[in-house]
Amino acid sequence: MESNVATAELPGHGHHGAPGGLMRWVTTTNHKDIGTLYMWFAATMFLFGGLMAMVIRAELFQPGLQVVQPELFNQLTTLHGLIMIFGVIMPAFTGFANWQVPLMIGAPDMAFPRMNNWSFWLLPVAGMFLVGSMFLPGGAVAGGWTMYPPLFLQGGISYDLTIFAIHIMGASSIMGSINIATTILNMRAPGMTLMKMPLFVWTWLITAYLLIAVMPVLAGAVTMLLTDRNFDTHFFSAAGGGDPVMFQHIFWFFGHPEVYILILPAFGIISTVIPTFSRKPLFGYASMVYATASIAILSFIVWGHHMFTVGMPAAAQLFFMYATLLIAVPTGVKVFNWVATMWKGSLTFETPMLFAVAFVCLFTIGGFSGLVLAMAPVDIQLQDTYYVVAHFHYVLVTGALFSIFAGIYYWLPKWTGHMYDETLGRWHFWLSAISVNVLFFPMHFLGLAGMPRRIPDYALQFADFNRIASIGGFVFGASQILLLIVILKCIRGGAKAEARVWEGAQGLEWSVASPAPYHTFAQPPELK
Amino acid sequence: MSRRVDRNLRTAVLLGLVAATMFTLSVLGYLS
Repeated sequence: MESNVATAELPGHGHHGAPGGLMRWVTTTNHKDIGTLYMWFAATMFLFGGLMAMVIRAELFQPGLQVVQPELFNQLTTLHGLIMIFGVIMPAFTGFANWQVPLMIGAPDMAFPRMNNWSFWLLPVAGMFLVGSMFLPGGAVAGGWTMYPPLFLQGGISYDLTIFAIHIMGASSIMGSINIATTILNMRAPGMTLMKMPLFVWTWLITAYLLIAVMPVLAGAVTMLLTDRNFDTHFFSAAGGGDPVMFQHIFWFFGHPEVYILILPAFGIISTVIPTFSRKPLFGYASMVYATASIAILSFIVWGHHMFTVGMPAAAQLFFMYATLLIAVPTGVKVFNWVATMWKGSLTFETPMLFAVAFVCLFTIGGFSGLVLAMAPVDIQLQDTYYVVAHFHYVLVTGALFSIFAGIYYWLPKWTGHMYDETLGRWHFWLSAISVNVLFFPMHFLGLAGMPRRIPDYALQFADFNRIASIGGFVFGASQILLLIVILKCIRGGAKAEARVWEGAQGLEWSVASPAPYHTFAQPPELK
Repeated sequence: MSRRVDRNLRTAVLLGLVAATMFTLSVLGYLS
């Protein structure tokens, strides 16, 4: 068969297991190894970004300055954002893609295994630049993760280093997404048409297209920042005839599709987990695919809703407002389909399903607060308040992060060959699900009452809700230690996992043994 | 090399061109 030739003809391939030692990880071209590397990288950065969040919440525990000075506080909020987006959520989803996409479509590996290795190993370098910039003279970048000029044009050496880190992460993302898109388009097992692909694969294909389209735009924006800072251009410098607001347009033309890059793979994971534990096929598969594509297309015409207060014409505000509200339609289709999948299903609530159900409820809260913010007159009041912070943390923590938790629990037995500790998993879920609401829900009230974001000190009337949020934050942070314990326990041992770990699981990844052998699908599987 | 490797390369080059175009547009579009 033609599709076997590439693997079978390479000398030594297909006959060995994992090589040993450190060099296995440095030189690996195996999609499973690289997936594992991505996951551990995300976990490491989650630790850094999470510790920063703990310091932020400690400072905000009561009014006045207690723990850090305002300069360091601003660096912490900025780095927390950059690290969580580029260092945690995106690498974690890429880790899932590396592990699962070839297994789900019956491919022997990714289309470009060596580029895959390079895509990964660029990331730790960028991560070190980001975290290490804290120790440079003047400290790390402090103007917010959006890097707006003119502030960003005025900082020290760490600003250049951050631009470099973003360039590196952008190159990694573009290579990774080209690899994933090519794999999905060209390497599916015979008989697996596009409309027979698992939904996780579909969401990643669309995410890869989004990445290819918008990461270069971010690269262009930060390149112009770099030349403005070092080579006397004036793209964004008003003093030289440039326009700082233009940066916002370019940045958010990247930034809004980026939001969907962070959530579409989450939709894919949830659309995989819910049918399994409902023991029913996904309700409305085709509508899920079209809804995902619609969300992706709409994401290109809504960037102005991040900029309602810059002074745009009312007609532009209306356009961006209505376009944004339109996104609620395909998103509503998805939520409906998830609920309809559970409807009259034989439901069981293992840890992945608990996180998936929590996702559906809590992500929807984040979606609704998004609709509130989408309305231009309301947004003018709420712009840069804690309401925005509450909104995007509901979307990204109880949305993206909870889906990552669901995916980890769901596929961990396939990856390690052992069942995880279900009791500890449930503890992790309940502690996380309760504390995350204690952490983020009061932020809605703080924002409505007018508390601005990105400040280390605040007026006395905000004290109570901030204290509640901080307590929730500390519990949420501490409960993530449970996840680490569950993962380490699962790697070291535990009940042996069967090939089909979950009774209701469908798909090719469950047709291979647990743990998945180092090489799978050297012969393309036959689809029934 | 199999035909599939050629096909993969062709897909990757096409997608890479899309990325390069988006980068150029974001910078050059502003220069014009």
